[in-house]
Formats: sequence, C-alpha cells, structure tokens
Amino acid sequence: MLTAEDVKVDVESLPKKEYLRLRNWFSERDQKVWEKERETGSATGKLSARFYRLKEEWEKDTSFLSSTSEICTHPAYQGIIGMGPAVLPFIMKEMAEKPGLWFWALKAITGEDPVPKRKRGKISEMTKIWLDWWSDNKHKYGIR
Amino acid sequence: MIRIEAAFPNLRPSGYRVASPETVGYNCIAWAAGDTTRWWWPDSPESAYWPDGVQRSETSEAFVKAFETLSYTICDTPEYEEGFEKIAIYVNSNGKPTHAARQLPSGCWTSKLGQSYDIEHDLEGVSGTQYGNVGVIMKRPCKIQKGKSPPNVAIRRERGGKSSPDVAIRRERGEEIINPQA
Repeated sequence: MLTAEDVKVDVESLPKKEYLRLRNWFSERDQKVWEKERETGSATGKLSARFYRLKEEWEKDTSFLSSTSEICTHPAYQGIIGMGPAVLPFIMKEMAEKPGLWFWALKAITGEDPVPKRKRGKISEMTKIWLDWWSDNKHKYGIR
Repeated sequence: MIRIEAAFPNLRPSGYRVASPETVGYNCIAWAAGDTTRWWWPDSPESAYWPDGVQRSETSEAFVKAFETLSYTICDTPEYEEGFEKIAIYVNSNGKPTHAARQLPSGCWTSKLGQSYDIEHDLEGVSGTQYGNVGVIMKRPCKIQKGKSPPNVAIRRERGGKSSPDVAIRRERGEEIINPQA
C-alpha cells in the first residue's frame, strides 16, 4: 500500500506546472468536502430551528388546553409531524428531558404504537415506553 | 401569572390562587374526577384514558356518562350543598366540552389548566374564550370519613352557607359524620 512518504517523493519531483495542478486539485477537493459539511450542518441547523420554533408556538397556544384533539391538531404540531422522521431525534430528546404530549406525533410519523391500552393516559409511563422503543429502533432511522 | 390572567380575564376580578406546580401528568377532566395519575380525554387515536364502556366522543353526553361512572348525577345548581361534592363541565359555543372543575368544601372551585397549574377560583373565573361557559353541573354524595369534622366550616358560615353542628353532638345523636373530600 502506498504511503504519504512514497507520494511525497513523487510530488517533489513534479514539474512546477504539474505541482500547481495537484495543489489546486487538493484545494478544490477540500472546498467540496467543507461545503458539503456546511450544507449538512445547515440542513440540521434549519431542521432544529424549525422544530423548536414550532414547538414553542405549539406550547404557547395549547398549555391551558385539556383536549388532546385540539392540542394535537394545532397547526404547529401538525407542522412538526409534517417534518417527518427527521424530527424524531428532536422529539425524543424533548421527551427524555420532560414528558409531553408527543404520542400522537410519534404514532403519525412512525406508524407504530408501542403503548398498551392499559397504559393510555399515563404520561410518564407512555414516555418511558416510547423512549425504550426509540432505543431499540432508532437504527432504522439512521441514528446510531 | 400574567399568561393565566391573559387567557382567563375573569380570574383577576373574581380572585384566584395557584395551588400547584405545572405538570402534564393529568388534565382538568382527570383532576375533576380526582385522578392525578392519568390524562383523560375521548380522543380518536386513543392516546388518553377514557372510562371503559363510555363512548369516545367529544360531546356533553359522553362527558356526563364519564362522570356517571364515578357516581355523579346531573343537578340544577352549582351552590355548595353539604354532604355532596360537585363538578362543573364547561362547553364552548358549539356545546363541545372543553374543561371541568371540581368544587371544594369552601365552595370555591379547583381547576387544572391543561398542562399548566391547578388553581382555585370562582366558578365563572375560567369562563370565557378559552373554555366557554358552564354547561353541566353534576353532584355525588361525599364519601363518609368517620371522626372528622367538615373543614372550612367558618368560611362557609361567613359565606352564608349551611354550617355543620358540632361533631361531638352529632356522634351523641348517632348521626353520620360526612366529610366532603378535598
């Protein structure tokens, strides 16, 4: 297998024009990698910003409501559901920090419902069940 | 408290008191039912608790049936009646239930504001755009607790409500001692 030391010898023997071409190639390659990383970070950043903006709006408008139907059909909550599986890590992070009424969204996004009937309405227990489900299934969503 | 008063403008003029920290563990229907372990609501995805055998429907009839499973029956007046505990179901302009409150032995009412605080308030204190108005009042006999005198008798007397005879006299007479639940 080639090593950097092997290549160095060849690089140093390159004519100046060829050396500059090689150097430009490295520079362009690094630029593409950096831009891709920036794009990914930006996409993640945009996702995060949108999620938290919608979450804040949802919480502000529904904190005094008891109707699960009204709470979970709020436009901001529906907007979170519309973000799809990419939003699952954010929801799970929120649930791990503080139980909330995320179950409707989780069912809608994943198509799953690990909560048995006898546990319906027991918010803390439902939260734990979903967090356990996420631990076992997050790999299906590309999360390690 | 600014948020509460903005959402319920009748609270400040009629007086209220925040009685608990915020929690999502139970909602107003559960609190009125005396249950702090579950969120009660007849939602379609069935993520919340609803009494077995009662239709999962956001109608006054379904909510009345839900409280009937706890021995409540519809009554005419929200006025405090010794020996009974009462709940009030609030409905919006379409007649759809939005909230429930439970009466305290003092004659005041207690409500869980969704995912937020419990408060103690006047019956009309939480009426308005958020919850609508009182639609139904229900009552049930208080559970008997021997040896305890009714709390807040002085408050009820001051408010012109019925007062309870001295506990010792009632025991002597062989009368049941009824203590309204808090």
